[in-house]
Amino acid sequence: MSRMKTQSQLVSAIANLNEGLALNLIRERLAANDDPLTLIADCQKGLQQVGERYAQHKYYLSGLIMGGEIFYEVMELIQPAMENRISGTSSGRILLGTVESDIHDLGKNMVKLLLSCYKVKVYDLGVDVQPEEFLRQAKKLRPDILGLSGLITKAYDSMRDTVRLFREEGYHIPIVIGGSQISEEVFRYTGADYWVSEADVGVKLCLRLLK
Amino acid sequence: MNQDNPGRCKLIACTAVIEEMLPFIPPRMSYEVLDFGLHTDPKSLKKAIQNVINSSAPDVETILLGYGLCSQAVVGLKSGSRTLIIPRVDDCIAIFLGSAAEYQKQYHSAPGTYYLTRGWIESGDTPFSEYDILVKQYGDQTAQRIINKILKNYTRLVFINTGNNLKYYREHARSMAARFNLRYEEIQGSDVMIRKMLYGPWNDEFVVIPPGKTVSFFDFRRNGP
Repeated sequence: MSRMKTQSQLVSAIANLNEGLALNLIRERLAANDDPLTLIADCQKGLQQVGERYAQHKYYLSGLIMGGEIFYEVMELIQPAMENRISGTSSGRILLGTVESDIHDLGKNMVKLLLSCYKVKVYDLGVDVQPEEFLRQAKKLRPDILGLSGLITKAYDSMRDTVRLFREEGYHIPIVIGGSQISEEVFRYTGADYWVSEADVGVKLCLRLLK
Repeated sequence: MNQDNPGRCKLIACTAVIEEMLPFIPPRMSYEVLDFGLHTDPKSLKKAIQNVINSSAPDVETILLGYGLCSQAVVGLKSGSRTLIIPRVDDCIAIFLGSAAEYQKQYHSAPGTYYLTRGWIESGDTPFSEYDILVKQYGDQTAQRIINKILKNYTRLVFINTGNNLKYYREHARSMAARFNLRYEEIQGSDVMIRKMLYGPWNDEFVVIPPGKTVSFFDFRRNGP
């Protein structure tokens, strides 16, 4: 089967939330020594279609979650190939967490998973993390980047509080805020250094900052 | 703005919110209801609200929005020739609880709370109402896996008591809590914010957008950039 055809099949399998087919296609392509980064890119195209179908009311929230679940399974299969591809030891450290008053972590977990494929050491503090806890852990773990994640609008206040606390304490580190509804205005409100609204863009940004 | 003349005011609200507003809407005030499902795509919700604003009757001077920030769906709305009045809240839970301060209090006590009201249950757009569809679609095991993922960090289900004839809805909320292993609580709602919105005064609990302006995120956060 041509590579083009299996590529589009993989994108469709994920867009259609067909877990079995998606995983089989990944196995086939790994066996054929396909570049794992291309496989991830195809999966992300599929996930993008899942997001579009959700926005068009063709999928419920569960469709989004199912898409994420398939992606996790895919990443488990791809991870060994990624680790072989990227040589050397850890290429940086990131402190990550969902900010205080928010418990959503789908995007954060995806970023964590993707970064770990690039041998970036991710310290994940979980959800509903207070500003003081971020600072305490940053002082202890000395990360290169602080990643603050949040979905709901209340999270923007916690992001702002966290950024302020770091600045007041004179702790200088690039601070990235991430969340699907973040905008330029929210970014200005929080005072962070960078903002992203998509997991893969966040991963690319972090990799660039770690260079 | 025309607080004293309901005939020159128009209300735009989603299906979940209008349920609670209907008993209080002044007789001469017109209103339009938008689908709750629009919330899944804030851009579509924004477009839908803007269309209603733009197509309102020429004698409407003030438009009341039964929305909060709602994933920033209201940010970017243009008032045109009218004045827009929007509760200064993140979402409609604060409207049902009577104030942003009360919502904040609830949030601090348990951020992992799923809120239900009569209107939401009626709209049928909650993870709980999805569960049975999931079972049909993917089977028991996968359905359970998905719902566990959705509710992973939730610990509490709150039913907001917003009035009379709630027996069916209360039982529904209670059974959902039991089925998905969430602590059930009932909280007394308040109509204070709904009344203020419909009758004034539009104090600092409301964002007031004069004619010719655009709604900004900073209208909802007075502490500025």
